[in-house]
Amino acid sequence: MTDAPSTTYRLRPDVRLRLLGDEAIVLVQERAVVFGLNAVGSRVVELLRAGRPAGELAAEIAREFEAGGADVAADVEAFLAELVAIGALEEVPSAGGGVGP
Amino acid sequence: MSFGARFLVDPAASFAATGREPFGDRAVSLELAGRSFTFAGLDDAQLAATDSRFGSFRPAVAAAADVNLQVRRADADEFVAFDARGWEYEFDFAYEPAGVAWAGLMLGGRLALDVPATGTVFTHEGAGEGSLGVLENALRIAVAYDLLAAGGVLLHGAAVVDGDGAFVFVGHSGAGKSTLSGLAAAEGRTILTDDLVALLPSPAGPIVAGLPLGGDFRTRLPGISVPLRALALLEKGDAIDFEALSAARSLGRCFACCPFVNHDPYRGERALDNLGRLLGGIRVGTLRFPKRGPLWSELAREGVT
Repeated sequence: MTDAPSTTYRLRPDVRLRLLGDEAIVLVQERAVVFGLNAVGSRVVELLRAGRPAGELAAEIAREFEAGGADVAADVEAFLAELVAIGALEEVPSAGGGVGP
Repeated sequence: MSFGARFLVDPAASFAATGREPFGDRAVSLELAGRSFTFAGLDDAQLAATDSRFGSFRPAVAAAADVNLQVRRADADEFVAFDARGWEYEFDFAYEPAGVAWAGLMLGGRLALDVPATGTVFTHEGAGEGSLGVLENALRIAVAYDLLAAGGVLLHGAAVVDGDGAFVFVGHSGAGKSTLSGLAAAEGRTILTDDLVALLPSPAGPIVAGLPLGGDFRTRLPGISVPLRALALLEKGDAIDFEALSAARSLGRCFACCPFVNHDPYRGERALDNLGRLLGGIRVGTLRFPKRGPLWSELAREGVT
């Protein structure tokens, strides 16, 4: 999954998020799947819920968790792809992204 | 495929049918995991079949039922001819805000999730193994929903009693529940179940009860409930390896092993809430183990139990 830096994601409407300390769980009811998130995953979802675009996540996570940038970028991308694949996340259509006649 | 179409010729008509007759005027109350389930509308043959499997779970004095199920007669031609060889049993469900309906092999049912829960099971199986299978399958669903309402959960799991506590081993079919149970039994441990386990809250902490539903080690110990000591999710492996799981991962893995209710969009969150309360403070992890014993003593030596 390679996204434009400005791409933003949101939890799908039927998905429930529960915070458990610094971890979280995501319930995708349609598939009867619960995804357990560690502290980093939980923070990524928190940033997405705050409207941060995908392109900003890796840098923010690297800064907060004091981790190397390249690995973090790949990990974040894989994590987002996984959440999309299980039906937890959907891309937010851009405001001006409609295709006119 | 629409709800019930795998099993019923005209699901809408079968579920809308009114005036179905009972098979007879017999009723049976069963006490499972401290909860009371009543089947009414049985004939003598169905009652005898029920007694053959669940007789030790009939209380001397029946408590007020938590779930009341009326068994009603359906015509054989309402059901789709089905070759079940090699097929893993899977119901069709229709989840509703106030209840749940299901269809399966030669049966249909609906449960209104009031207090007490009430429902109807329709089938054309009037005697023998067929009727017993229908009642047992209806009971599985009733137990899953009743435990949920009682703050508990039904899990695909084995439960082994050691000392004054029970260890629960969770996993789907093929995960090793029966193998582990057999190895634990060989070392003298009591097996509450190797297939479906009930977890319930109590003032002293979560308790474990076996259920006489499926499995090779079907409990014949009614009324036995034991404090939960630890819970492990079974994984394939050749050597004993226990790895602790975080709360989030524990809940996620266990939720996947809550039959029926985990797919229910109206009640899935409740299952998650119940699991969270039940497992708070309980040691949870993944367990790999060899298929040959001795196992239980090795688990103790490794500090797992």
